[in-house]
Amino acid sequence: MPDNALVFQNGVPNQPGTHVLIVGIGEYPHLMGGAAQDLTVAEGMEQLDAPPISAREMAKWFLDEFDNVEKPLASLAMVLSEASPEDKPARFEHGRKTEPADALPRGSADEVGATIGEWLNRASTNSANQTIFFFCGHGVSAGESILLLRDFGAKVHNRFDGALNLNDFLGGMQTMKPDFQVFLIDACRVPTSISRSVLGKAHVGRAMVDPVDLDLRGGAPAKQSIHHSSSTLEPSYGRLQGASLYTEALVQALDGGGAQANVGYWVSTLGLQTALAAYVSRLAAKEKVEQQPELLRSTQFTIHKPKRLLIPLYVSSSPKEALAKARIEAYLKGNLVGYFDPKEHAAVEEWVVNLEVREHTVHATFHPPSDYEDEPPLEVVVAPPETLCPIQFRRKP
Amino acid sequence: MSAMTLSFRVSDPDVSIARGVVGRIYGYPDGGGDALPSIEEIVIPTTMEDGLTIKVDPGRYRVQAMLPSGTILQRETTVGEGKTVSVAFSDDDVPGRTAGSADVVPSPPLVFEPQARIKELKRIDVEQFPEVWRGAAASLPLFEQLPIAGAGVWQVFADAKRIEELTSLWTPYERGLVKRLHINQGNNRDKWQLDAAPFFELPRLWTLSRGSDLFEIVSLPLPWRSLGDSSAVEVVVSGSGSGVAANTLVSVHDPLLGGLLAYLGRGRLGNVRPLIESLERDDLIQQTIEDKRLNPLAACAAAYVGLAIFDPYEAEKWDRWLPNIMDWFPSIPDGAIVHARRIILRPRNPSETEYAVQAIKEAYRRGIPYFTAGVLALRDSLLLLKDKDKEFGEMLENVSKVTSRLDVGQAFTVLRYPD
Repeated sequence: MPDNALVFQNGVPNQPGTHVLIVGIGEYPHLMGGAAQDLTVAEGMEQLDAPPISAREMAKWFLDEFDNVEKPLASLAMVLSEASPEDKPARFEHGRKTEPADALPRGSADEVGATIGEWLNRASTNSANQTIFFFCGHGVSAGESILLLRDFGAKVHNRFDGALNLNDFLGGMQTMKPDFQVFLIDACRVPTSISRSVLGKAHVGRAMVDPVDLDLRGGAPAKQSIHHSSSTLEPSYGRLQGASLYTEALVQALDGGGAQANVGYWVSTLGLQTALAAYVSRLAAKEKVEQQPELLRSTQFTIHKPKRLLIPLYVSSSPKEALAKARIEAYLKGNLVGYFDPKEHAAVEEWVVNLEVREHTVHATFHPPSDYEDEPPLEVVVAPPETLCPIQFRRKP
Repeated sequence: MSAMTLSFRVSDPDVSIARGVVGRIYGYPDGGGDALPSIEEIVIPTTMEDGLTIKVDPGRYRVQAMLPSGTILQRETTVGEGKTVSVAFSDDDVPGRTAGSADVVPSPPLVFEPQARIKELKRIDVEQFPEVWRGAAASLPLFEQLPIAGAGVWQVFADAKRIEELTSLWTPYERGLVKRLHINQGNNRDKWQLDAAPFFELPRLWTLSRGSDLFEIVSLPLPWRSLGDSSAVEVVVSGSGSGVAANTLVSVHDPLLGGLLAYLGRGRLGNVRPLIESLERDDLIQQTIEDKRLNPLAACAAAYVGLAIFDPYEAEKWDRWLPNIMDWFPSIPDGAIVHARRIILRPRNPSETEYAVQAIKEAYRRGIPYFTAGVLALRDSLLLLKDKDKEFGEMLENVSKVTSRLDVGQAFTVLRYPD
């Protein structure tokens, strides 16, 4: 039977590969604003813009940018629950897709379970395979993380049947064949009164994967790296009609911020988390919210090697207002690689430019007439995950 | 020869940790270059005193201090030929910091709801201890281990109603060997420092803190010793955000291992490798385990981190340490857990599985682990070896119920029970 979730497949027999599953649940029929809303379960949880957008962005990133010569991209599958005027399944378009992807699963528990099964079948062809699971949608804490699927609340007497129990899922996955497993969970972890009503009960929601005897995979569990977008009991944030903060940070971390020198500048599990912590906090602070990602149970292994290591350089100034008048240029080996000019760009409190991991020179000058002195060139060592360049401007006498 | 002196100064005079904060030095020796920068990872002392001096080639460097909170502080510097340059960080550099050494030692969240509700905490302001806690109004009752062993402990702790019933029977605990000092920090935040004399064994100690709509049972890592000296255990109770009431946080000011605990408690294991390697190089982990006067809990903490970040085949040197933690400290569940975990992650032969099974059973019998990582590891181990022993199914159910109450954001075990 065809797997409607499959977008890309290019597995090479006998060669390890990376198998990606992306789940974005934004439309919840039984939550507030949904076609069959049930206010007794909704608890203020609304329809979400960010998850389908985030899921599409992540899929695009994997198809365009993912690079791992030891475990190249072997398959990518998607589940998308997004609002549709005709109430039809979503489709995904991309120049590299190898499958129709014109009726993606919509994210009910049955559909997610079936998709996970197919994903695992593909990923279990070789123990050296890597799996990457990305989820974006509502989540609650019932003492452990529960990820809400499209049909959460559909069964009045078994509301959590439309949910995935993350701990049980991870436990089962540890016994599965792929040795290297990355989980990127972009969901809130707040307690609600419904979730608190099941506090202390184990196994709320579906496991999707039953554990099997460890001897079937040689006795040792798989290596897992579990990345949460927020801390325990805290929310995660997404933009209206935009991607989530975590997805923005994730793309930047995978593009180079998560690269670690001690593993040859590959993006590793631990380096990824270091970058995510820096980026999510900064994005959240800019939006005047708090969000701190958390890493649970991580073993160090490499995920991907960016073709170019791009690290954000943040240029700020003292006094703050001086930056709005300064022309800032970044040079690499004498070549201009980025600039900010108040005559061309809107005023910013902090100028950001993505640069390679090298030593750069930053020039700060002012269009005349100006109250400030031009600054001598600054040498800046650009290093992951982010590089700060505060400039102390001097007023003219 | 040129050098760089690195330091991280903290404003809290109680904090002095030789291996406090992980640092990274990216650089271009001899200035400039077309290649990727060199990198060195170091551990910066968190102290009021002088820092760490390392030799470097003359050149340009960017120094990062990777704090347990996830914040990264940075300095750019040029080191001239034959010069020593000072690179100093401070907890004043941490953006959004309010008070205390929150980013370098474990501490509650800095942001509080303005209307945080804490009830039934009888606050006492005292200047002298040990008189503090002889009074019945003491607001941090300490409870001995419940006189129930094995499965009973897990079943009791899974059930909020039973916990409530039992706590109502207990009286404030008095024993002159544990000193308590209370500090009202304002902003709905109270701190207790607990100190135990190092040369007596204590029973398992728990404490209870109440919020407006839940209470928390907190495992106290007492006595905590560092190289023979007693280190204070801090318990801070505060109102927290997200509509959740009182949040209790336990931390330890250990001059050797305090840094490691800060990273463990925040889940910031991505940066902790240099810290562990530094402790190993100086044989401090081995000393901690082998010297019976020292702190087996600290050894367990190091083991949890090591097992998490090192590849199982890289951590073979731990093989001779881990069984000792289990055997030499029979009251500590975590010792048996780390031993079982090592076997599970790297089984040398099929017969070793039976050792793991026995260690897991022993851990379960010893009760609730001191560390959050221990509770999670016990559940994982039971799940992974569920088919190896007929008792594991029921054990897994009992442990899972307790795990569902766990505050996973903390290093030490805190269980939450909504009212």
